Amino acid sequence: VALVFGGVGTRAQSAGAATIAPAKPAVDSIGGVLLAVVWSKNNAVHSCSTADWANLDQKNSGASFTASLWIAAEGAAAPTFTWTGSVACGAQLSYYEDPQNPLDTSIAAIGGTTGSANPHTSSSITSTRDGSLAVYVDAAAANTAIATPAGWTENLDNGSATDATRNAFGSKLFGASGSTSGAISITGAAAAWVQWQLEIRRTAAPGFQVSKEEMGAWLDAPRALSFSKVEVGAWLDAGALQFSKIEVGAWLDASGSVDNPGFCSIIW
Amino acid sequence: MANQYFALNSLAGCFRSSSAVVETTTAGRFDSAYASNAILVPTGSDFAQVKGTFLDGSTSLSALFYLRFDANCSAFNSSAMVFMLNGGANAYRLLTTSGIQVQYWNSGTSAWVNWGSAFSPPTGLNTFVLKLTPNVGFELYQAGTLRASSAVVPTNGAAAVDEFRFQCGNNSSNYYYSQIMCADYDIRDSHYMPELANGEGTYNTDGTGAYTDINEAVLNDSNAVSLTASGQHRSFTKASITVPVGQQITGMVVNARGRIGGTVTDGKILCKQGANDTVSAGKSYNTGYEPRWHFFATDPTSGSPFTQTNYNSAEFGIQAA
Repeated sequence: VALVFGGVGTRAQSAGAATIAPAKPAVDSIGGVLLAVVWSKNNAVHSCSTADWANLDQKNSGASFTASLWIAAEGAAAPTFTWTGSVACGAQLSYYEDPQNPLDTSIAAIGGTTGSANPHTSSSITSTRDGSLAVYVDAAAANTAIATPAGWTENLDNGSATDATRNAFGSKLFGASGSTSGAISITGAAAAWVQWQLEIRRTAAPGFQVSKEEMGAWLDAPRALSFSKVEVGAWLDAGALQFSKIEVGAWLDASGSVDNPGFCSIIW
Repeated sequence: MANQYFALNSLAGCFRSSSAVVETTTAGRFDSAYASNAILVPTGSDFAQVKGTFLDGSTSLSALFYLRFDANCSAFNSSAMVFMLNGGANAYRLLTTSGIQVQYWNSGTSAWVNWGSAFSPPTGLNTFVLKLTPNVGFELYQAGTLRASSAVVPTNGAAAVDEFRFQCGNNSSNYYYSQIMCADYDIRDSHYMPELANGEGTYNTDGTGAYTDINEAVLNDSNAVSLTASGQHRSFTKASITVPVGQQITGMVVNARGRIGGTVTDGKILCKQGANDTVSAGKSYNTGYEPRWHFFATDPTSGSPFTQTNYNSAEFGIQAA
Protein backbone atom coordinates (compact mmCIF):
# COMPACT_ATOMS: atom_id res chain seq x y z
CA VAL A 1 0.00 0.00 0.00
CA ALA A 2 1.62 3.21 -1.12
CA LEU A 3 1.15 6.86 -1.80
CA VAL A 4 -0.31 7.15 -5.27
CA PHE A 5 -1.51 9.51 -7.95
CA GLY A 6 -5.28 9.66 -7.59
CA GLY A 7 -6.46 11.47 -10.72
CA VAL A 8 -6.90 14.88 -12.29
CA GLY A 9 -9.65 17.42 -12.73
CA THR A 10 -10.75 18.64 -16.12
CA ARG A 11 -8.24 20.98 -17.67
CA ALA A 12 -9.35 24.62 -17.82
CA GLN A 13 -8.10 26.93 -20.57
CA SER A 14 -8.94 30.24 -22.21
CA ALA A 15 -7.69 32.19 -25.18
CA GLY A 16 -7.94 35.38 -23.17
CA ALA A 17 -8.73 35.84 -19.47
CA ALA A 18 -7.40 37.23 -16.22
CA THR A 19 -8.91 34.46 -14.15
CA ILE A 20 -9.16 30.69 -14.36
CA ALA A 21 -11.10 28.17 -12.27
CA PRO A 22 -10.00 24.56 -12.85
CA ALA A 23 -12.27 21.73 -11.81
CA LYS A 24 -11.56 19.70 -8.71
CA PRO A 25 -11.04 15.97 -9.24
CA ALA A 26 -12.96 13.38 -7.26
CA VAL A 27 -11.35 12.74 -3.88
CA ASP A 28 -11.66 9.85 -1.45
CA SER A 29 -11.75 11.88 1.76
CA ILE A 30 -8.84 10.04 3.31
CA GLY A 31 -6.45 12.93 3.79
CA GLY A 32 -5.00 13.37 0.30
CA VAL A 33 -3.66 16.54 -1.27
CA LEU A 34 -4.42 18.51 -4.41
CA LEU A 35 -1.86 20.19 -6.63
CA ALA A 36 -2.76 22.99 -9.03
CA VAL A 37 -0.63 24.19 -11.89
CA VAL A 38 -1.60 27.53 -13.43
CA TRP A 39 -0.07 29.19 -16.47
CA SER A 40 -0.61 32.43 -18.33
CA LYS A 41 1.10 33.99 -21.32
CA ASN A 42 2.46 36.96 -19.46
CA ASN A 43 4.60 37.52 -16.40
CA ALA A 44 1.81 38.57 -14.07
CA VAL A 45 1.80 37.35 -10.50
CA HIS A 46 -0.88 34.71 -9.90
CA SER A 47 -3.03 34.92 -6.80
CA CYS A 48 -5.73 32.77 -5.26
CA SER A 49 -8.41 33.92 -2.88
CA THR A 50 -9.90 30.48 -2.31
CA ALA A 51 -9.33 29.34 1.25
CA ASP A 52 -6.71 26.71 2.06
CA TRP A 53 -4.72 26.99 -1.17
CA ALA A 54 -1.03 27.72 -0.64
CA ASN A 55 1.40 28.88 -3.28
CA LEU A 56 4.48 26.68 -3.63
CA ASP A 57 6.28 28.52 -6.41
CA GLN A 58 5.90 30.69 -9.48
CA LYS A 59 8.43 30.98 -12.25
CA ASN A 60 8.56 33.21 -15.27
CA SER A 61 9.95 31.63 -18.40
CA GLY A 62 10.94 34.39 -20.72
CA ALA A 63 8.88 37.56 -20.94
CA SER A 64 5.53 36.06 -21.92
CA PHE A 65 5.00 32.86 -20.02
CA THR A 66 4.65 32.18 -16.33
CA ALA A 67 3.48 29.19 -14.33
CA SER A 68 2.62 28.75 -10.67
CA LEU A 69 2.23 25.72 -8.46
CA TRP A 70 -0.27 25.45 -5.57
CA ILE A 71 -1.23 22.89 -2.96
CA ALA A 72 -4.24 22.24 -0.70
CA ALA A 73 -5.70 19.49 1.39
CA GLU A 74 -8.26 17.46 -0.51
CA GLY A 75 -11.15 19.05 1.37
CA ALA A 76 -10.41 22.49 -0.08
CA ALA A 77 -12.86 24.00 -2.52
CA ALA A 78 -12.03 24.22 -6.22
CA PRO A 79 -9.75 27.26 -6.55
CA THR A 80 -10.01 30.38 -8.65
CA PHE A 81 -6.79 32.04 -9.75
CA THR A 82 -6.46 35.61 -10.90
CA TRP A 83 -3.83 38.00 -12.29
CA THR A 84 -3.60 41.26 -14.10
CA GLY A 85 -4.12 41.28 -17.85
CA SER A 86 -6.29 39.15 -20.11
CA VAL A 87 -4.10 36.59 -21.83
CA ALA A 88 -4.16 32.96 -22.99
CA CYS A 89 -4.08 30.82 -19.89
CA GLY A 90 -4.96 27.52 -18.32
CA ALA A 91 -4.87 25.44 -15.16
CA GLN A 92 -5.33 21.88 -13.98
CA LEU A 93 -5.54 20.03 -10.65
CA SER A 94 -4.06 16.66 -9.76
CA TYR A 95 -4.79 14.53 -6.71
CA TYR A 96 -2.57 12.31 -4.53
CA GLU A 97 -3.58 9.94 -1.75
CA ASP A 98 -2.21 7.33 0.59
CA PRO A 99 -4.55 4.62 1.90
CA GLN A 100 -2.57 4.38 5.12
CA ASN A 101 -1.67 7.95 5.97
CA PRO A 102 -2.88 11.51 5.69
CA LEU A 103 -0.62 13.57 3.44
CA ASP A 104 1.30 16.69 4.31
CA THR A 105 0.55 19.98 2.58
CA SER A 106 3.90 21.37 3.63
CA ILE A 107 6.38 20.60 0.90
CA ALA A 108 10.01 20.19 1.93
CA ALA A 109 11.70 19.45 -1.35
CA ILE A 110 10.83 21.33 -4.52
CA GLY A 111 12.92 22.25 -7.49
CA GLY A 112 11.92 24.29 -10.51
CA THR A 113 13.58 24.99 -13.82
CA THR A 114 12.67 27.14 -16.78
CA GLY A 115 13.71 27.19 -20.41
CA SER A 116 12.57 27.86 -23.94
CA ALA A 117 14.07 25.01 -25.92
CA ASN A 118 13.80 21.25 -26.19
CA PRO A 119 14.45 19.25 -23.98
CA HIS A 120 12.63 20.18 -20.78
CA THR A 121 14.74 19.53 -17.71
CA SER A 122 14.71 19.63 -13.94
CA SER A 123 17.16 18.69 -11.22
CA SER A 124 16.92 15.75 -8.88
CA ILE A 125 15.38 16.27 -5.44
CA THR A 126 15.94 14.33 -2.22
CA SER A 127 13.09 12.91 -0.17
CA THR A 128 12.67 13.81 3.48
CA ARG A 129 10.35 10.99 4.62
CA ASP A 130 9.88 7.31 3.95
CA GLY A 131 7.45 6.28 1.25
CA SER A 132 7.10 9.68 -0.41
CA LEU A 133 6.01 10.18 -3.99
CA ALA A 134 8.22 12.10 -6.40
CA VAL A 135 6.09 14.23 -8.72
CA TYR A 136 7.01 16.24 -11.78
CA VAL A 137 4.85 19.00 -13.25
CA ASP A 138 5.53 20.52 -16.65
CA ALA A 139 3.83 23.48 -18.28
CA ALA A 140 4.76 24.76 -21.73
CA ALA A 141 3.75 27.62 -23.99
CA ALA A 142 3.07 25.43 -27.03
CA ASN A 143 0.79 22.43 -27.54
CA THR A 144 3.47 19.83 -28.18
CA ALA A 145 3.48 16.46 -26.48
CA ILE A 146 5.75 16.08 -23.46
CA ALA A 147 7.64 12.79 -23.28
CA THR A 148 7.79 10.50 -20.25
CA PRO A 149 11.08 10.44 -18.35
CA ALA A 150 12.65 7.01 -17.93
CA GLY A 151 11.70 5.40 -14.64
CA TRP A 152 8.67 7.61 -14.12
CA THR A 153 4.98 7.06 -14.74
CA GLU A 154 3.34 9.73 -16.81
CA ASN A 155 0.02 10.44 -15.16
CA LEU A 156 -1.20 12.92 -17.73
CA ASP A 157 0.00 14.82 -20.80
CA ASN A 158 -2.61 17.11 -22.32
CA GLY A 159 -2.90 20.38 -24.18
CA SER A 160 -5.26 22.62 -26.03
CA ALA A 161 -5.29 24.76 -29.14
CA THR A 162 -7.44 27.26 -27.26
CA ASP A 163 -4.57 28.64 -25.24
CA ALA A 164 -1.84 26.90 -27.28
CA THR A 165 -0.24 25.33 -24.24
CA ARG A 166 0.61 21.89 -22.88
CA ASN A 167 1.01 20.46 -19.38
CA ALA A 168 1.99 17.14 -17.90
CA PHE A 169 2.03 15.34 -14.52
CA GLY A 170 4.18 12.32 -13.66
CA SER A 171 5.22 10.45 -10.55
CA LYS A 172 7.24 7.63 -9.05
CA LEU A 173 7.77 6.32 -5.56
CA PHE A 174 10.80 7.33 -3.58
CA GLY A 175 12.40 4.73 -1.36
CA ALA A 176 13.37 5.55 2.18
CA SER A 177 13.94 9.08 3.34
CA GLY A 178 17.02 10.49 1.64
CA SER A 179 16.31 8.92 -1.74
CA THR A 180 16.87 10.94 -4.88
CA SER A 181 14.45 11.32 -7.75
CA GLY A 182 16.99 11.79 -10.49
CA ALA A 183 17.31 14.62 -12.99
CA ILE A 184 14.77 14.80 -15.80
CA SER A 185 15.42 15.65 -19.43
CA ILE A 186 12.54 14.99 -21.77
CA THR A 187 11.33 16.01 -25.16
CA GLY A 188 8.79 18.81 -25.19
CA ALA A 189 7.83 21.99 -26.97
CA ALA A 190 10.63 24.24 -28.11
CA ALA A 191 8.87 27.09 -26.43
CA ALA A 192 8.86 28.61 -22.97
CA TRP A 193 8.40 25.98 -20.31
CA VAL A 194 8.54 25.48 -16.55
CA GLN A 195 9.22 22.12 -14.93
CA TRP A 196 9.12 21.23 -11.23
CA GLN A 197 9.97 18.23 -9.18
CA LEU A 198 8.50 18.00 -5.70
CA GLU A 199 8.05 15.52 -2.89
CA ILE A 200 4.49 14.59 -1.91
CA ARG A 201 4.86 13.10 1.55
CA ARG A 202 2.98 11.62 4.45
CA THR A 203 2.39 13.54 7.63
CA ALA A 204 5.00 12.60 10.19
CA ALA A 205 4.09 10.61 13.30
CA PRO A 206 5.76 12.21 16.33
CA GLY A 207 5.61 8.93 18.23
CA PHE A 208 3.01 6.22 18.74
CA GLN A 209 -0.21 7.55 17.28
CA VAL A 210 -3.61 5.94 17.43
CA SER A 211 -6.36 7.36 15.27
CA LYS A 212 -9.09 4.81 16.03
CA GLU A 213 -9.65 2.59 19.01
CA GLU A 214 -12.53 0.46 20.17
CA MET A 215 -12.97 -2.11 22.85
CA GLY A 216 -15.57 -4.78 23.08
CA ALA A 217 -16.75 -7.65 25.17
CA TRP A 218 -16.46 -11.05 23.56
CA LEU A 219 -19.59 -12.84 24.67
CA ASP A 220 -20.06 -16.56 24.51
CA ALA A 221 -22.88 -18.70 25.60
CA PRO A 222 -21.56 -20.55 28.64
CA ARG A 223 -19.67 -23.50 27.34
CA ALA A 224 -20.29 -25.60 30.47
CA LEU A 225 -23.36 -27.82 30.30
CA SER A 226 -26.24 -25.89 31.78
CA PHE A 227 -29.73 -26.81 32.89
CA SER A 228 -32.74 -24.64 33.38
CA LYS A 229 -34.77 -27.22 35.35
CA VAL A 230 -33.63 -30.16 37.37
CA GLU A 231 -35.72 -32.64 39.35
CA VAL A 232 -34.85 -35.80 41.11
CA GLY A 233 -37.05 -38.82 41.54
CA ALA A 234 -36.86 -42.50 42.43
CA TRP A 235 -37.35 -44.78 39.49
CA LEU A 236 -39.39 -47.65 40.78
CA ASP A 237 -39.55 -50.99 39.13
CA ALA A 238 -41.27 -54.02 40.39
CA GLY A 239 -38.72 -56.09 42.28
CA ALA A 240 -38.70 -59.87 43.01
CA LEU A 241 -41.98 -61.72 43.18
CA GLN A 242 -43.79 -60.37 46.15
CA PHE A 243 -46.85 -61.42 48.03
CA SER A 244 -48.74 -59.39 50.47
CA LYS A 245 -51.08 -62.17 51.58
CA ILE A 246 -50.65 -65.86 51.42
CA GLU A 247 -53.17 -68.41 52.36
CA VAL A 248 -53.18 -72.06 52.14
CA GLY A 249 -56.25 -74.22 51.84
CA ALA A 250 -57.24 -77.76 51.05
CA TRP A 251 -58.95 -78.18 47.68
CA LEU A 252 -61.63 -80.59 48.29
CA ASP A 253 -63.38 -82.52 45.58
CA ALA A 254 -66.34 -84.69 46.16
CA SER A 255 -65.46 -88.27 46.04
CA GLY A 256 -67.06 -90.18 43.01
CA SER A 257 -66.30 -93.77 43.87
CA VAL A 258 -69.21 -96.19 44.25
CA ASP A 259 -67.05 -98.06 46.40
CA ASN A 260 -67.04 -95.31 48.80
CA PRO A 261 -69.51 -96.11 51.28
CA GLY A 262 -69.37 -92.66 52.62
CA PHE A 263 -72.00 -91.48 50.22
CA CYS A 264 -75.53 -92.56 50.58
CA SER A 265 -76.45 -92.89 46.91
CA ILE A 266 -75.22 -91.94 43.54
CA ILE A 267 -77.20 -92.16 40.35
CA TRP A 268 -75.11 -92.10 37.02
CA MET B 1 -8.14 -24.97 23.68
CA ALA B 2 -10.53 -22.39 22.33
CA ASN B 3 -8.93 -19.56 20.36
CA GLN B 4 -10.42 -16.25 19.39
CA TYR B 5 -9.02 -14.83 16.14
CA PHE B 6 -10.64 -11.41 15.83
CA ALA B 7 -13.69 -9.37 16.73
CA LEU B 8 -14.48 -5.93 15.40
CA ASN B 9 -17.31 -3.57 14.77
CA SER B 10 -15.66 -0.38 13.55
CA LEU B 11 -12.84 1.06 11.51
CA ALA B 12 -10.50 0.63 14.48
CA GLY B 13 -10.24 -3.02 13.55
CA CYS B 14 -9.83 -2.52 9.80
CA PHE B 15 -7.01 -1.48 7.57
CA ARG B 16 -7.36 2.06 6.35
CA SER B 17 -9.45 1.85 3.22
CA SER B 18 -8.46 3.62 0.03
CA SER B 19 -11.98 4.89 -0.27
CA ALA B 20 -14.97 5.79 1.80
CA VAL B 21 -15.63 3.13 4.40
CA VAL B 22 -17.48 4.84 7.22
CA GLU B 23 -19.67 3.97 10.12
CA THR B 24 -23.32 4.60 10.64
CA THR B 25 -25.54 4.95 13.62
CA THR B 26 -28.78 4.20 11.82
CA ALA B 27 -30.92 1.73 13.74
CA GLY B 28 -31.90 -1.49 12.04
CA ARG B 29 -28.57 -1.93 10.36
CA PHE B 30 -27.16 -3.74 13.39
CA ASP B 31 -28.48 -5.62 16.40
CA SER B 32 -29.01 -2.84 18.91
CA ALA B 33 -28.98 -5.32 21.78
CA TYR B 34 -25.25 -5.61 21.25
CA ALA B 35 -23.96 -2.81 18.99
CA SER B 36 -24.67 0.82 18.29
CA ASN B 37 -23.03 1.13 14.91
CA ALA B 38 -21.85 -0.82 11.89
CA ILE B 39 -19.22 -0.64 9.23
CA LEU B 40 -20.66 0.84 6.06
CA VAL B 41 -19.30 -0.56 2.83
CA PRO B 42 -20.56 1.42 -0.16
CA THR B 43 -21.20 0.05 -3.59
CA GLY B 44 -18.17 -0.42 -5.77
CA SER B 45 -14.87 -2.03 -4.99
CA ASP B 46 -14.48 -0.84 -1.40
CA PHE B 47 -14.07 -3.30 1.42
CA ALA B 48 -13.36 -3.51 5.12
CA GLN B 49 -10.10 -5.39 5.35
CA VAL B 50 -9.13 -7.70 8.20
CA LYS B 51 -5.69 -9.28 8.19
CA GLY B 52 -2.56 -9.44 10.25
CA THR B 53 -1.69 -11.12 13.52
CA PHE B 54 -4.86 -12.51 15.00
CA LEU B 55 -5.76 -12.40 18.66
CA ASP B 56 -4.16 -15.77 19.34
CA GLY B 57 -0.89 -14.76 17.67
CA SER B 58 -1.49 -16.67 14.47
CA THR B 59 -1.50 -15.01 11.07
CA SER B 60 -3.16 -17.70 9.01
CA LEU B 61 -6.08 -20.05 9.55
CA SER B 62 -5.53 -23.51 8.15
CA ALA B 63 -7.87 -25.52 10.36
CA LEU B 64 -11.54 -25.29 11.23
CA PHE B 65 -12.75 -21.79 11.98
CA TYR B 66 -16.09 -20.11 12.51
CA LEU B 67 -16.68 -16.67 11.00
CA ARG B 68 -19.68 -14.93 12.49
CA PHE B 69 -21.02 -11.58 11.32
CA ASP B 70 -24.18 -9.55 11.02
CA ALA B 71 -24.89 -8.05 7.60
CA ASN B 72 -27.59 -5.64 6.60
CA CYS B 73 -28.39 -5.17 2.95
CA SER B 74 -31.24 -4.68 0.52
CA ALA B 75 -30.11 -7.13 -2.16
CA PHE B 76 -27.71 -9.92 -3.04
CA ASN B 77 -27.04 -9.08 -6.63
CA SER B 78 -23.46 -8.08 -7.15
CA SER B 79 -19.93 -9.30 -6.50
CA ALA B 80 -19.29 -11.08 -3.21
CA MET B 81 -20.10 -10.11 0.36
CA VAL B 82 -17.18 -11.84 2.04
CA PHE B 83 -13.95 -12.47 0.24
CA MET B 84 -11.19 -14.62 1.75
CA LEU B 85 -7.61 -14.67 0.52
CA ASN B 86 -4.44 -16.56 1.27
CA GLY B 87 -1.15 -14.82 0.64
CA GLY B 88 -2.94 -12.29 -1.52
CA ALA B 89 -4.44 -14.99 -3.73
CA ASN B 90 -8.10 -15.91 -4.02
CA ALA B 91 -9.24 -18.58 -1.58
CA TYR B 92 -12.96 -18.64 -0.74
CA ARG B 93 -15.87 -16.28 -1.06
CA LEU B 94 -19.57 -15.82 -0.52
CA LEU B 95 -20.75 -14.89 -3.98
CA THR B 96 -23.82 -12.69 -4.00
CA THR B 97 -24.77 -12.36 -7.64
CA SER B 98 -27.99 -14.26 -6.95
CA GLY B 99 -28.59 -15.17 -3.34
CA ILE B 100 -25.50 -16.55 -1.65
CA GLN B 101 -23.24 -19.18 -3.15
CA VAL B 102 -20.11 -20.34 -1.36
CA GLN B 103 -17.23 -20.79 -3.77
CA TYR B 104 -13.62 -21.91 -3.63
CA TRP B 105 -10.83 -20.85 -5.94
CA ASN B 106 -9.32 -23.56 -8.13
CA SER B 107 -5.76 -22.33 -8.50
CA GLY B 108 -5.12 -24.90 -11.23
CA THR B 109 -7.75 -23.50 -13.56
CA SER B 110 -7.81 -20.01 -12.06
CA ALA B 111 -11.55 -20.14 -11.68
CA TRP B 112 -14.14 -19.93 -8.93
CA VAL B 113 -16.03 -23.15 -8.34
CA ASN B 114 -19.43 -23.45 -6.70
CA TRP B 115 -19.15 -25.27 -3.38
CA GLY B 116 -22.40 -26.66 -2.11
CA SER B 117 -25.67 -25.11 -3.19
CA ALA B 118 -26.87 -21.53 -3.30
CA PHE B 119 -29.59 -20.18 -1.08
CA SER B 120 -31.49 -16.92 -0.88
CA PRO B 121 -31.69 -15.38 2.57
CA PRO B 122 -34.07 -12.55 3.26
CA THR B 123 -32.70 -9.03 2.91
CA GLY B 124 -32.37 -6.81 5.94
CA LEU B 125 -30.34 -7.74 8.98
CA ASN B 126 -29.02 -11.29 9.04
CA THR B 127 -26.61 -13.19 11.23
CA PHE B 128 -24.35 -15.43 9.18
CA VAL B 129 -21.97 -18.04 10.51
CA LEU B 130 -19.55 -19.71 8.15
CA LYS B 131 -17.96 -22.86 9.52
CA LEU B 132 -15.06 -23.54 7.22
CA THR B 133 -12.16 -25.94 7.17
CA PRO B 134 -9.92 -24.87 4.31
CA ASN B 135 -9.67 -27.50 1.64
CA VAL B 136 -12.08 -29.77 3.50
CA GLY B 137 -15.62 -28.49 3.75
CA PHE B 138 -17.97 -25.85 5.04
CA GLU B 139 -21.32 -25.17 6.61
CA LEU B 140 -23.11 -21.86 6.27
CA TYR B 141 -25.74 -20.85 8.78
CA GLN B 142 -28.17 -17.99 8.52
CA ALA B 143 -30.43 -17.07 11.43
CA GLY B 144 -29.17 -20.15 13.22
CA THR B 145 -30.26 -22.56 10.48
CA LEU B 146 -27.95 -24.54 8.23
CA ARG B 147 -28.51 -23.20 4.70
CA ALA B 148 -25.66 -24.69 2.68
CA SER B 149 -22.83 -27.12 3.18
CA SER B 150 -20.38 -29.34 1.38
CA ALA B 151 -17.89 -31.99 2.31
CA VAL B 152 -16.53 -32.22 -1.22
CA VAL B 153 -12.79 -31.59 -1.07
CA PRO B 154 -11.92 -28.64 -3.32
CA THR B 155 -9.71 -29.20 -6.33
CA ASN B 156 -6.58 -27.09 -6.00
CA GLY B 157 -8.20 -25.20 -3.16
CA ALA B 158 -6.45 -22.87 -0.73
CA ALA B 159 -5.02 -24.56 2.32
CA ALA B 160 -5.48 -21.53 4.56
CA VAL B 161 -7.06 -18.10 4.89
CA ASP B 162 -5.12 -15.07 6.12
CA GLU B 163 -7.25 -12.16 4.96
CA PHE B 164 -10.94 -11.33 5.07
CA ARG B 165 -12.59 -8.61 3.02
CA PHE B 166 -16.12 -7.55 3.78
CA GLN B 167 -17.51 -6.11 0.59
CA CYS B 168 -20.72 -4.72 -0.82
CA GLY B 169 -22.74 -7.46 -2.46
CA ASN B 170 -25.26 -5.06 -3.94
CA ASN B 171 -24.81 -2.82 -6.95
CA SER B 172 -27.17 -0.09 -5.83
CA SER B 173 -26.97 0.37 -2.06
CA ASN B 174 -24.63 -0.03 0.88
CA TYR B 175 -23.81 -3.07 2.97
CA TYR B 176 -23.47 -2.78 6.74
CA TYR B 177 -21.39 -5.20 8.79
CA SER B 178 -21.34 -5.57 12.56
CA GLN B 179 -20.28 -8.03 15.24
CA ILE B 180 -17.62 -9.57 13.02
CA MET B 181 -16.06 -12.42 14.98
CA CYS B 182 -13.83 -15.35 14.19
CA ALA B 183 -12.72 -18.24 16.38
CA ASP B 184 -11.83 -21.90 16.23
CA TYR B 185 -14.84 -23.02 18.23
CA ASP B 186 -18.57 -22.87 17.75
CA ILE B 187 -19.56 -19.20 18.03
CA ARG B 188 -23.00 -19.49 16.49
CA ASP B 189 -24.44 -18.18 19.75
CA SER B 190 -21.63 -15.73 20.51
CA HIS B 191 -21.78 -11.96 20.31
CA TYR B 192 -19.49 -8.96 20.36
CA MET B 193 -20.48 -5.87 22.35
CA PRO B 194 -18.27 -3.04 21.03
CA GLU B 195 -17.81 0.39 22.48
CA LEU B 196 -15.91 3.52 21.55
CA ALA B 197 -14.25 5.85 24.03
CA ASN B 198 -16.58 8.24 25.83
CA GLY B 199 -14.07 10.03 28.05
CA GLU B 200 -10.51 10.33 29.29
CA GLY B 201 -9.36 7.59 31.63
CA THR B 202 -7.15 7.76 34.67
CA TYR B 203 -4.02 7.68 32.52
CA ASN B 204 -4.65 11.10 31.07
CA THR B 205 -1.51 13.20 31.32
CA ASP B 206 0.79 11.78 28.66
CA GLY B 207 0.95 12.75 25.02
CA THR B 208 -1.43 14.84 23.00
CA GLY B 209 -4.89 14.44 21.59
CA ALA B 210 -8.19 13.57 23.18
CA TYR B 211 -10.56 10.63 23.27
CA THR B 212 -12.61 12.41 20.63
CA ASP B 213 -9.70 11.94 18.22
CA ILE B 214 -10.05 8.16 18.31
CA ASN B 215 -13.77 7.63 18.45
CA GLU B 216 -14.94 9.46 15.35
CA ALA B 217 -17.80 7.93 13.43
CA VAL B 218 -16.21 8.74 10.10
CA LEU B 219 -12.96 7.97 8.37
CA ASN B 220 -10.52 10.43 9.87
CA ASP B 221 -6.90 9.71 10.62
CA SER B 222 -5.84 13.32 10.47
CA ASN B 223 -6.16 13.68 14.22
CA ALA B 224 -4.96 11.14 16.70
CA VAL B 225 -3.73 10.53 20.21
CA SER B 226 0.06 10.73 20.13
CA LEU B 227 2.56 9.38 22.66
CA THR B 228 5.99 10.78 21.96
CA ALA B 229 8.20 8.94 24.45
CA SER B 230 8.65 5.35 25.46
CA GLY B 231 6.51 4.34 28.40
CA GLN B 232 3.90 7.04 27.96
CA HIS B 233 0.37 5.77 28.18
CA ARG B 234 -3.23 6.87 27.91
CA SER B 235 -6.46 5.23 28.94
CA PHE B 236 -10.07 5.91 28.07
CA THR B 237 -13.44 5.21 29.57
CA LYS B 238 -16.46 3.73 27.89
CA ALA B 239 -20.11 3.14 28.69
CA SER B 240 -21.15 0.21 30.82
CA ILE B 241 -22.73 -2.86 29.34
CA THR B 242 -25.39 -5.23 30.54
CA VAL B 243 -24.59 -8.73 29.47
CA PRO B 244 -27.71 -10.28 27.99
CA VAL B 245 -29.15 -13.34 29.64
CA GLY B 246 -27.55 -16.48 28.34
CA GLN B 247 -24.19 -14.83 27.62
CA GLN B 248 -20.99 -14.52 29.59
CA ILE B 249 -17.92 -12.33 29.10
CA THR B 250 -15.13 -14.43 27.69
CA GLY B 251 -12.74 -11.53 27.38
CA MET B 252 -12.10 -7.94 26.38
CA VAL B 253 -11.07 -7.19 22.80
CA VAL B 254 -9.29 -3.90 22.09
CA ASN B 255 -8.70 -2.79 18.51
CA ALA B 256 -6.43 0.19 17.82
CA ARG B 257 -5.46 1.63 14.45
CA GLY B 258 -2.08 3.25 14.86
CA ARG B 259 1.35 4.05 13.46
CA ILE B 260 4.78 4.90 14.82
CA GLY B 261 7.34 7.61 14.22
CA GLY B 262 9.91 9.76 15.95
CA THR B 263 11.83 7.90 18.63
CA VAL B 264 9.02 5.49 19.45
CA THR B 265 9.63 2.11 17.88
CA ASP B 266 6.39 0.32 18.68
CA GLY B 267 3.03 0.58 20.37
CA LYS B 268 1.19 -1.54 22.92
CA ILE B 269 -2.43 -1.96 23.94
CA LEU B 270 -3.47 -1.79 27.55
CA CYS B 271 -6.37 -2.59 29.84
CA LYS B 272 -6.66 -0.83 33.17
CA GLN B 273 -8.88 -1.95 36.01
CA GLY B 274 -8.80 -0.30 39.38
CA ALA B 275 -5.20 0.46 40.26
CA ASN B 276 -3.83 -2.23 38.00
CA ASP B 277 -3.20 -2.54 34.31
CA THR B 278 -2.22 -5.22 31.86
CA VAL B 279 -0.16 -4.18 28.85
CA SER B 280 0.31 -6.23 25.72
CA ALA B 281 3.67 -6.89 24.14
CA GLY B 282 4.62 -4.59 21.29
CA LYS B 283 2.12 -5.03 18.47
CA SER B 284 4.60 -4.39 15.63
CA TYR B 285 3.10 -1.14 14.44
CA ASN B 286 4.45 0.36 11.22
CA THR B 287 4.78 3.87 9.83
CA GLY B 288 1.41 3.65 8.11
CA TYR B 289 -1.86 3.41 10.01
CA GLU B 290 -2.75 -0.25 10.51
CA PRO B 291 -5.08 -2.02 12.94
CA ARG B 292 -3.78 -4.09 15.80
CA TRP B 293 -5.90 -6.21 18.12
CA HIS B 294 -5.51 -7.60 21.60
CA PHE B 295 -7.54 -9.98 23.72
CA PHE B 296 -7.56 -9.62 27.49
CA ALA B 297 -8.95 -12.84 28.95
CA THR B 298 -8.71 -11.73 32.57
CA ASP B 299 -9.12 -8.48 34.41
CA PRO B 300 -5.90 -6.92 35.70
CA THR B 301 -7.03 -6.79 39.30
CA SER B 302 -8.36 -10.24 40.00
CA GLY B 303 -6.50 -12.19 37.37
CA SER B 304 -9.78 -13.96 36.76
CA PRO B 305 -12.24 -13.71 33.89
CA PHE B 306 -14.09 -10.42 33.78
CA THR B 307 -17.25 -10.10 35.76
CA GLN B 308 -19.70 -7.58 34.37
CA THR B 309 -18.85 -5.26 37.26
CA ASN B 310 -15.12 -5.45 36.67
CA TYR B 311 -15.53 -5.17 32.92
CA ASN B 312 -17.61 -2.04 33.33
CA SER B 313 -15.06 -0.38 35.59
CA ALA B 314 -12.16 -1.22 33.28
CA GLU B 315 -10.52 1.29 30.94
CA PHE B 316 -8.76 0.62 27.68
CA GLY B 317 -5.84 2.41 26.13
CA ILE B 318 -2.43 2.50 24.52
CA GLN B 319 1.19 2.69 25.58
CA ALA B 320 4.35 3.64 23.72
CA ALA B 321 6.84 0.79 23.73
